[in-house]
Amino acid sequence: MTLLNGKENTLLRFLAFDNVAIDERKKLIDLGFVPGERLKILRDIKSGFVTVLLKGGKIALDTNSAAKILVKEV
Amino acid sequence: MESIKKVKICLAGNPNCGKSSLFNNITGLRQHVGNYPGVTVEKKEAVITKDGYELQVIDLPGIYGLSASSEDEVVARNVLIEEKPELIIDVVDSSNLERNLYLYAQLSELKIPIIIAMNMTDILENKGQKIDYKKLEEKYNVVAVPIVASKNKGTFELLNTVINVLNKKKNINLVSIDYGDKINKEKDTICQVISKDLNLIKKYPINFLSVELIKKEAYALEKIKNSKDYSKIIEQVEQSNKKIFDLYNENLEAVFADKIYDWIKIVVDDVLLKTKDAKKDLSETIDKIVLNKIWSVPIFLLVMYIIFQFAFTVSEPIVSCFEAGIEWLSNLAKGIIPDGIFQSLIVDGIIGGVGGVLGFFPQIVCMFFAIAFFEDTGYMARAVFIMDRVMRKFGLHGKSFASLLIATNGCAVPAMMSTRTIDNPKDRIITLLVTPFMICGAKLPIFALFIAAFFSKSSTQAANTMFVFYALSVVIALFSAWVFKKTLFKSEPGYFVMELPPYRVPTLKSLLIKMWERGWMYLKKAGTIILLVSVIIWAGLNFPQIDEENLGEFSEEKVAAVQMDQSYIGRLGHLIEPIIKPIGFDGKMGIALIAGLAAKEVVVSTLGIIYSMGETDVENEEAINSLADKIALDKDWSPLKSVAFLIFCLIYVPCIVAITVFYRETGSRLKWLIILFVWTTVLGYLLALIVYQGGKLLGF
Repeated sequence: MTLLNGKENTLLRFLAFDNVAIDERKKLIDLGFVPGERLKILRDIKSGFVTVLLKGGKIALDTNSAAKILVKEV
Repeated sequence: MESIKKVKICLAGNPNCGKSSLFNNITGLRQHVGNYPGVTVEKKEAVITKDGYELQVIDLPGIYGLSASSEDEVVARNVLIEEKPELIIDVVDSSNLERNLYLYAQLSELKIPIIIAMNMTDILENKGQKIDYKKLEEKYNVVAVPIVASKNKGTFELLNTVINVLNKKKNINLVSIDYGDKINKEKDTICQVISKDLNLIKKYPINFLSVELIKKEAYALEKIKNSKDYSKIIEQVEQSNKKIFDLYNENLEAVFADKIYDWIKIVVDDVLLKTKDAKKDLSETIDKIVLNKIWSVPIFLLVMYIIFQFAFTVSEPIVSCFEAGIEWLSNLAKGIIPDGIFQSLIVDGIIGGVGGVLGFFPQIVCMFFAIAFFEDTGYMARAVFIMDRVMRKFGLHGKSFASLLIATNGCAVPAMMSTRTIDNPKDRIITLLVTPFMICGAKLPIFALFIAAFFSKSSTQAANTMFVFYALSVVIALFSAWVFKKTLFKSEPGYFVMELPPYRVPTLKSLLIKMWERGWMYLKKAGTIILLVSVIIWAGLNFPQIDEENLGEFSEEKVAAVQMDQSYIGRLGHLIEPIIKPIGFDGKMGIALIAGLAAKEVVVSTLGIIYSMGETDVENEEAINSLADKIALDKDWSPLKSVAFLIFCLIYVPCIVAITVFYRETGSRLKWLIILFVWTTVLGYLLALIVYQGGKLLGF
């Protein structure tokens, strides 16, 4: 599943990127999207915005980016 | 006598970690601070002296790591790597150690002494945590000084630590990240190969270069291109890259990041101590409302509405005092200076021109205060994110909106520079093209003047009208972006990922400082460029002088009218009148618009001079007080003409400084400058024409 399918308040584990451009991938890695990392969905797409709690910070992502982040539920 | 030693110190850190606040505390400067993308996009420098050292302090744009992609991040990386500072102060948000130490770990590869300025320790305390600084230093070689930059706490101790390190009274052991035996071995092998080229050793930190080469970073590969050992290095890089990839079967950037985060986890688990239960963080509760799918945009509009209401309502009595003060000054000058050309220069040219602009100073600072309030709470960072969704419908994204917000928050020039945070070059150029449409601090007096003249019986009504024009400016910017995206730049908008800062209660001191620093810019402009242009406009309206004796028994107003008519500027006005007549403008309006190319406030100062010189064809002279009154009672103006005038002012060519910055930021390509000129002029003219002619047809 992708981050876009995640439900609010669920704990996920980041798996990989799907078709992400180099610059975007670098930025996401810098922000803590490394394989195996746990993250929590704070706001899901139903609310119109995707925000996640990752490495102690609140990250906001546009829906295109969220759709390229592969995760699985913990 | 001991000589002064020069030392270069860089302030690095994540975005929104308080670098610029610390920079201001250290240097005594007033660098603009903010918590959304684009506030700091270039390095800022200042020199201070302390204890026999001349410290050149450089404030860098915020970065999460050294793998730069946008232009502002490249600036930060290049300074750190190529300018070789003697010391780095890594500003770290202590309430979010895990993420912030990632940059520290990357910086440690540069093998430059680093002191951590452990910022926001007050927030950490509220979270019920504290840091064991002794253990951090003794066990992990990380030197850190607690500070609270927003309250200027800990700056003295930080500077003392800097001096102690420089004096060798305090030793900093360089940190080495353990990437594991296999990676360390490959890294060392590449270091050995690189070390054979003395030029590379001299220019770049080899540890950093080898790590970046293993990852095959384009930036690092570029650096070795001219090495005499290029083929050997690249051969080794290929081998090492393959070995590590085969080992982890994973993208190498992720492998290195994972290792760094492993190190961070060990450090954080060891030094971050729990002291008490955390105070309840309301950020998520507030975000549930603010980032609601349905309410987010209306809430944003409400915030902007509140800002304008605040600016117009609170400033109303102060504006009246300012106007009375300018009137008093004008009368005083008339009383002291004998009648004649010099009195006219002072009263009509300087007081009429500059005074006309200064009259709106209270509104400007009140608006800056209100924006600073929402900025400091952390809301404006959310606004950027909220508007990302709207911007995408027009082919742009949130970072573009951040630039538009910066323009509203002061000036189009920093707004244009803030587009450096946009990674996609096409998105960046579109943003540069539409940024001038926003109502910046310089355009605000024009709107305030005409709203006061024609559309407001109360400050509430004035704010409502201003809000409508603000909304219109956003609509025009979005429409233009959509046109550009459909014609010149057919591509998907770039990605938008940002860290949202936690909500904070702003301090009055910070708000007042922000209000003053932006207000001071306005005053400085009034005392320099606006003053200069006012004098030029006054001279252009007074020369060549007409022979008053030939005018016989004409009234004073009639003489002034003939003088203006015959002057250089009057003649220029007549020349352009046929072009602007269809949109309802006459020569003096055209002159004000042309003069406004120097700085938009000059539109107001030019009208101030014209009306101060006496060309007012009014019915009720006793009712005249301010420039707005004079315009309202002038038969040459009407509410319809003023709307057309404001729409044209909103859209037409930006001021000369903004044009210069636009040219530079678009890579000095004439093509974009021509597009800017043509689009702003044609669109401005067309809309003003539709409004004026349409309004006339409808009987307005």
